[in-house]
Amino acid sequence: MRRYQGRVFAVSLHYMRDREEARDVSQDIFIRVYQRLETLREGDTFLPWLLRLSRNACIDRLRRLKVRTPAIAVPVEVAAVTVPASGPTPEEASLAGARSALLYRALDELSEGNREMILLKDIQELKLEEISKMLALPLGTVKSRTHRARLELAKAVRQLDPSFGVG
Amino acid sequence: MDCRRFEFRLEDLSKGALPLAEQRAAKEHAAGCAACNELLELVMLPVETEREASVSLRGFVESVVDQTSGAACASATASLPALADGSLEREQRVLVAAHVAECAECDHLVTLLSALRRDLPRLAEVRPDAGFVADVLKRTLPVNVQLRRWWGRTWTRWLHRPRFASELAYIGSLVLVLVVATPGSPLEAVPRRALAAVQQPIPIDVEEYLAAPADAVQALTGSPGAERVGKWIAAGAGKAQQADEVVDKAAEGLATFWRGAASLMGNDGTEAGTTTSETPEMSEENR
Repeated sequence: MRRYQGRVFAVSLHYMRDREEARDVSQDIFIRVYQRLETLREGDTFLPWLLRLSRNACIDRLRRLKVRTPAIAVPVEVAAVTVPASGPTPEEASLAGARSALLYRALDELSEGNREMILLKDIQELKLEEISKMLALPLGTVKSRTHRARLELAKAVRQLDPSFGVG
Repeated sequence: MDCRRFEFRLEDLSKGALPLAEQRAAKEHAAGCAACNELLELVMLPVETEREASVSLRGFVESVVDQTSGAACASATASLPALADGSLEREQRVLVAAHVAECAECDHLVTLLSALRRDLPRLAEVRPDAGFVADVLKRTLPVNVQLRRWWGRTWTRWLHRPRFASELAYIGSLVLVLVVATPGSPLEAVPRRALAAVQQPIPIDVEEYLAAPADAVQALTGSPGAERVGKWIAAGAGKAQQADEVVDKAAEGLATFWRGAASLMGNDGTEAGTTTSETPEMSEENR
């Protein structure tokens, strides 16, 4: 649980967009994992199974809440805990935190579908086949949607900070 | 010149480094030999193609950019994510790369896409607060263990409240009043009986005392709780009778002891400081 708590919390935060809700859902997810571990078939890889379960749990919770929470930019302090300090200096850590905050803001401007694609493909780094299975979509559709989402995100980032990624 | 000598001189011939006489001899041989002529054509071919390419390179790039600009730029843009992650087919990659090299906007997008590929995986994990794991583990415990732990925590919290003793006394009093003083309660008669028992003159008449529990049991209207209370009272009365008998026996034993002690000390206790003028009644009192 200690190994995967960060990933599960990140996915929950992505869907719920509220730290407290995400924490509750993450707890539910681990309890579901505990209860349903037997359903993990031999040959299945754990991470895609866990992420599929997480996604379903978040969607269930959102349905129960009826109304989706308004789009609130993920606070910068969340981003600060997100990224482990890539370098030894505080300046580098702070820079990485700022970049993450910018990415969260850009992600916030994407549509629900595009954000989900970015989450699964580029953030959680699932294979196209796994995403296709998870979302019950043809492989080609997943591929084209992923590319479209990435392009949208790049444009959103460029609008927020034209110097992002340069130099 | 024979074929072997021609092949030996072929490289120099292609570079134009052969003396003029040998060049003429080689070309004459190639003109008469189909295999050597083919070799000569092949050796000369790359040099000519390279020259052509270097001359027309500018035209090629411009042609590509012309074909992919404007409405076609959108089509190139759609391929940029695939270009950034290296999943484009070879021919398309060459075409899109050529467009990107000349289109500043697309070039910037490719830079951004590459940066995103590097930065996005960092968002894969967000650490929840420190108590998260403990909270999940707590929720996966069996219900009875959860309840026991909850009760332990709650009780400790109550105990640490400064007003706990007074609150407990208040609740106890309230319960006592509800049990014995509420009209219609099965224990309604108990305080009256208790008051009567306290007001009775001492010593208590054992016969009357024994009769009281029977009355009390009768008064308590046959509920299981009342019967049990009646039994306790009866048992208590039995114990009291036994105690009464023990006290009587003890008093008798003490009297026997003093009589024995008096007989050892002498006649009627005269050595115990009594005077001869004391009457037998007085000696009895001293004893």
